[in-house]
Amino acid sequence: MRRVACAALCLASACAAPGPAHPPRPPATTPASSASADVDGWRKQIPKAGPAAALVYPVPESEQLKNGLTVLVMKRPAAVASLSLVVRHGASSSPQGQSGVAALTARMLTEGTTTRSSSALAEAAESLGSALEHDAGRDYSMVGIETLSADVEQGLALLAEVAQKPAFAPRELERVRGEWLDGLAAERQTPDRLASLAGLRLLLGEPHGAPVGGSVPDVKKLTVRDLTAFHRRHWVPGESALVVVGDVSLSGVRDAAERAFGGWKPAPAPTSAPAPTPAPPDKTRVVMVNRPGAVQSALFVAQPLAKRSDAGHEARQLMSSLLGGLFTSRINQNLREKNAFTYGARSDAVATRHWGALVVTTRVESAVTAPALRELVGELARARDPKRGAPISDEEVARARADLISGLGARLIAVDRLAADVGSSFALGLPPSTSSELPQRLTAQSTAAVAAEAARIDEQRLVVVIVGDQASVKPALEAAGFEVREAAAELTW
Amino acid sequence: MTFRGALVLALALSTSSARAAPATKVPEIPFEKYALDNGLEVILHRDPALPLVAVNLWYHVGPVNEPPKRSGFAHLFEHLMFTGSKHVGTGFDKLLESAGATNVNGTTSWDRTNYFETVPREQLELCLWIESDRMGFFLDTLSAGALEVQRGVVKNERRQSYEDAPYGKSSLELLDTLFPQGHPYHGAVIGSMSDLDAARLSDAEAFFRTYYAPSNATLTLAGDFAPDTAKRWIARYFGPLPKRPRPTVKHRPTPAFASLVRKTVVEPVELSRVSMGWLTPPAYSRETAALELAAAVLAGGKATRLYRKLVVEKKLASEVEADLDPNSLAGIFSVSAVAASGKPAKEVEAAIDAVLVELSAKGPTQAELDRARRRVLFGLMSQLQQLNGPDGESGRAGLLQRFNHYLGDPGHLRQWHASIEAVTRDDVRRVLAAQLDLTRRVIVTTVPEPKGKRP
Repeated sequence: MRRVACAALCLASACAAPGPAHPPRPPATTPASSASADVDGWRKQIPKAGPAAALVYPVPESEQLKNGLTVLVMKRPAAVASLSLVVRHGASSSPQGQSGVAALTARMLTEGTTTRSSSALAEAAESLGSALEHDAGRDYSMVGIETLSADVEQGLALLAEVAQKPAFAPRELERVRGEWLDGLAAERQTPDRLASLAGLRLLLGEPHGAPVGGSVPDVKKLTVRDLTAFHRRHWVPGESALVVVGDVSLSGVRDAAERAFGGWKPAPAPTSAPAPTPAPPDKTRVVMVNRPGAVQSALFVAQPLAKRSDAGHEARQLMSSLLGGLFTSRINQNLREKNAFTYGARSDAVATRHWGALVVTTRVESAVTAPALRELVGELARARDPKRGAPISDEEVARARADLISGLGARLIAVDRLAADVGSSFALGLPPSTSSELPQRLTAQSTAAVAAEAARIDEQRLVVVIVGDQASVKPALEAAGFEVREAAAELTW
Repeated sequence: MTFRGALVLALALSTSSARAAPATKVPEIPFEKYALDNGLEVILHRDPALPLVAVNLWYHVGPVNEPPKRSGFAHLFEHLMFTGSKHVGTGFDKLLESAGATNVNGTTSWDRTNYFETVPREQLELCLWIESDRMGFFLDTLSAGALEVQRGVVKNERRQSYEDAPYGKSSLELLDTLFPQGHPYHGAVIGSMSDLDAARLSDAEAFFRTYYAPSNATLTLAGDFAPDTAKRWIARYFGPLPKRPRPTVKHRPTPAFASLVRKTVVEPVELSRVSMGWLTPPAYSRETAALELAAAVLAGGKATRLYRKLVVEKKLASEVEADLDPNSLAGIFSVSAVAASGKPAKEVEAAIDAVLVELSAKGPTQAELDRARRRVLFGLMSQLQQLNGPDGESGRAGLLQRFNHYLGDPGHLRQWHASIEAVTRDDVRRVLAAQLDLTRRVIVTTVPEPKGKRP
């Protein structure tokens, strides 16, 4: 596969400026397949695009039930429907010392209700060909299910049951806790996941930097009482939205929602006063997590950005795209296509309700860790400072814009992607029209606006975590002028 | 498009109306298939629901065709195909990004290599121009420099996906034991480092001349396009490419695996893992549908046999998987489980075996089989939303290609659906008893590296 999609913060990618590593040379032998230039000269002509078709990203319809539950419906002509109940509270709402409580609560909703056992719930969902899904992020918790259009009502009934009547049976929690802790161990044995986990902790501190899935010590301590309390406080109708995308109507979904969720008792919205995130480090420093004998180093490089609701979000998306979102992005082009240091490098402008961050991730051959980090930091500096020979150009902003807009359009092809967009806007407190308005907002961003966001990059104050073979990588980094520290054990808990 | 709107939402029913889950509607992907004089096959599936069109080009070549000592070459070559061609030059990534292309990629599997992108409908001609230039004029720009860079990229892909990925080395060990030295699949799709190092520019030239012929390729369009215009463009861009013979492929059938072979792999992981593999009949044999359902009865949901037995009841494992990977020379049926913390691999293996023995003797219950069938068919309906899948072998363009590649019939979906619907409890029992012989398989145990060597 030429490119790979990675989990969580990463994907695959690349950039614009540098040319190929080696100038093209004439082929060693005359290709048998090529006819003479005279015959094929017409092929040099790039075909012109036809008239652009309007791709309309619909605004979901919205209503509110009497108990405060928001109902968001997007009608799509699909054979399958995506149903989810989204709560606008996630890991960021965890009490101190209870990291993982939001995610584990969502999981436990699917592990038994007051009327059905865990296995009976699984049988019911699988009889529809599906599975009950659960998830939590920084700003949301959710349960969901995909069904055939004909089974929407049964799906809604299942969601209503798990959201309103969870059993939180102690026996099931102990079983799930064991499985969950094994999952945390599995995550920590995966180099790029470990790097992100440690990196976000360094960047954001507690509580924002704690892993959504929880730290091992916290998850060991969580009790039925903790989960019940999180559920009672946060899973309330006024803080939740039922999101349905499929071949449905608003009135049909509203009526079904009324039957399934109408009896859900309203409760006051929890008040949250999230702690501020820490300042970036005083200087760029590499924190090394040792993985003896590793053939690659996993790099996590980040700095804080503005939060989602702050002005300039779209310009920051464009900046990240041309830095490391596109295949032809600056960082991917340098680290992969010019230097062959890696299979891929990418950047993301992460934007949550309380914080934002520019995050660059890649995995490079151990022996080139230092030059790869130097090139990566160099690309950040070149993007920041137009005097370094690579000012952000209209052409690359246009390419980033085209890619982001068409990427949004491609989401129309699958109900689950649309549902994720609708749910995410709700959780972040953004209007339902957010995704539909995105193309316009992206189009309104000038190259100067993107460059202004890039000018905020400070490559002297980056958080850098490298998971790799310390014995070989640390001396090379130090020789290249980087200050290196060993990670404290609690960074990887 | 036939499946859209075929299933009408029944929201008028009250929640109290218990009803049996209806059988899924028979899915269909309407298509037209024809060939150019140079042998290029074309499959067109029109659906104007969205103003997008997926272009998916399959070359019927993969590791199955690699010469000796060149494992991984088909995939390395796939990377080279992105480095440029005579008239398009080296900048087509930028062209495609500027044109709003999504799901742009190439993938290599045992028997085939594919290249694909989805674009706004007004950019279809651009894609045909690019793909035809790669097919006809790739060698004109191929350089030693490009080979060196992509060799480095692919070696990093190997490190990232296998050498430095949990259980990656173990999965390569399983495959290389199932397909020993001398088998075309030996070395896996990614290939060995030494074979990747050995690849030369002359190999790429020979590979291209032999296998990247119009007569060895199939082009599929799925989405919003005017068929007459599309055909005219296809004729314009692909038609003049010279006819070259379709390579003949001779393979001896893969002999049945003769014994139980055990391997142990030490990896820097916390949790042990047991994985086992069997050779099963080639893709779309008589047994394929029953094997697919056997895998779905075993794992893939919380109400499956292995999950219930190993994860819920015995708490021996934290993850279980069962999978059928059907290919031209042989299918690979695999079962694996990540041991729960502190649980010995031996016990995990014994528990898997007990489940297999019981299912082979008694078969699944009707309810189990029905749930597994619903999940398989739901997965099919779900992927039909997409014009093309992320691997280019799912979604509508991908399924048309896949069925065409293995059966010569892009329209096999209806029959495939029927064959899944027809599987009985006894079919699953028989196929498990006949194919998953506990004395003829490979078992790989992943053992965590001793603590002292790790952080």
